[in-house]
Amino acid sequence: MAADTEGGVKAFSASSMDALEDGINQFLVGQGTNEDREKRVTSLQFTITGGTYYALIAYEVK
Amino acid sequence: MYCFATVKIGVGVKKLSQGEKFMFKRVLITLLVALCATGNAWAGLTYSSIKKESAGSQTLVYGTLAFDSSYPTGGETVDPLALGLSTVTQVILMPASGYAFEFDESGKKVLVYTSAAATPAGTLANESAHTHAVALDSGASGATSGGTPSGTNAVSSALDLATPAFSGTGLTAAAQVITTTDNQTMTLNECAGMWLISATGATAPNLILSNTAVTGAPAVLTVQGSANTDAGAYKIVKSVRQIFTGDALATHTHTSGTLADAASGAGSAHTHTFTGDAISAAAMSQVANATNLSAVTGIPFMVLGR
Repeated sequence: MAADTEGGVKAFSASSMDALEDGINQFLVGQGTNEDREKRVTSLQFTITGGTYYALIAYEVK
Repeated sequence: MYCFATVKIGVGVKKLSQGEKFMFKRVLITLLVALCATGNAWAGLTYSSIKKESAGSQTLVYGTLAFDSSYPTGGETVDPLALGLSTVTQVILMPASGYAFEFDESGKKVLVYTSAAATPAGTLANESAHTHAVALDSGASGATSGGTPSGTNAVSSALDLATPAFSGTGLTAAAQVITTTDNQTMTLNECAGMWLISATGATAPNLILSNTAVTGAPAVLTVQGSANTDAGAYKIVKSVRQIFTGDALATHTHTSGTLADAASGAGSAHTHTFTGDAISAAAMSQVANATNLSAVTGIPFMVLGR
């Protein structure tokens, strides 16, 4: 997997708000591998459809 | 970039079962997604960096998109095939470049909105006192009408031999100077411009140019031309003057002149006061038909579908 160095867009879905938040946090914070870097959300869109929580973020790599 | 995929199925070679048809559709969709992974253009929307994830019973497709150069009223169509889906249930776009987006679920279209033009209601008060300097260049004056004053010219001071200014007897000439034989009293040049006339008329009149001041002494008169000696009576009389008696010039007109162009000077600082209400909040309006949105690119989007 190529290192993410420029940022981009990432979508999340979860069955609860907490799960959605956890998913986003895990994505934003590096997990200790070379490919993972800390990221910063530059824009966020959130919606709930059919009982599922969705988030769309635009992010940049620090 | 437009992507097309054509698959020919041999008619009559093999009739596909329902399970095979389903699998074929999945493969076809996967091929389309793979072929159009970067830069898909469908009905005015171009998708980039497409990623696809399972989201429970639905599929989550996300990436960035761009608009084309002519927005159609009613919105840009979201084609599910361009995203590897058979149907689209929801589209979410982040506001960008001053535009907001809305998904029309029934029409499967993305509408673009922007703030509507607004005009504040109010009044603009008259400006505070100030001055404007105006410079005029030289202009041509207009012609004046002719005017003739009414009145009469009259000789009010004709040669009055009966009442001379001075009179006496005996004149002695030497060059241009005539000295009276008798004594006179006169101030300096009192007789200048008067005529010296002999009573007999035997000698020509002499115009007096100047005289000395004398008191009880012979008058010394300098005359024009040759002086004449005459022992007889003489008179010094005033010369003839033309006197105008009349009214002031009657009413008349002066036509207007022409002012050349002139540069006005800068006015002094002043203020205009606007009094009005704040602009009321108003809903955004859809951008006009054929609006060029080609600069609106890189918009993060998320599509839910199956």
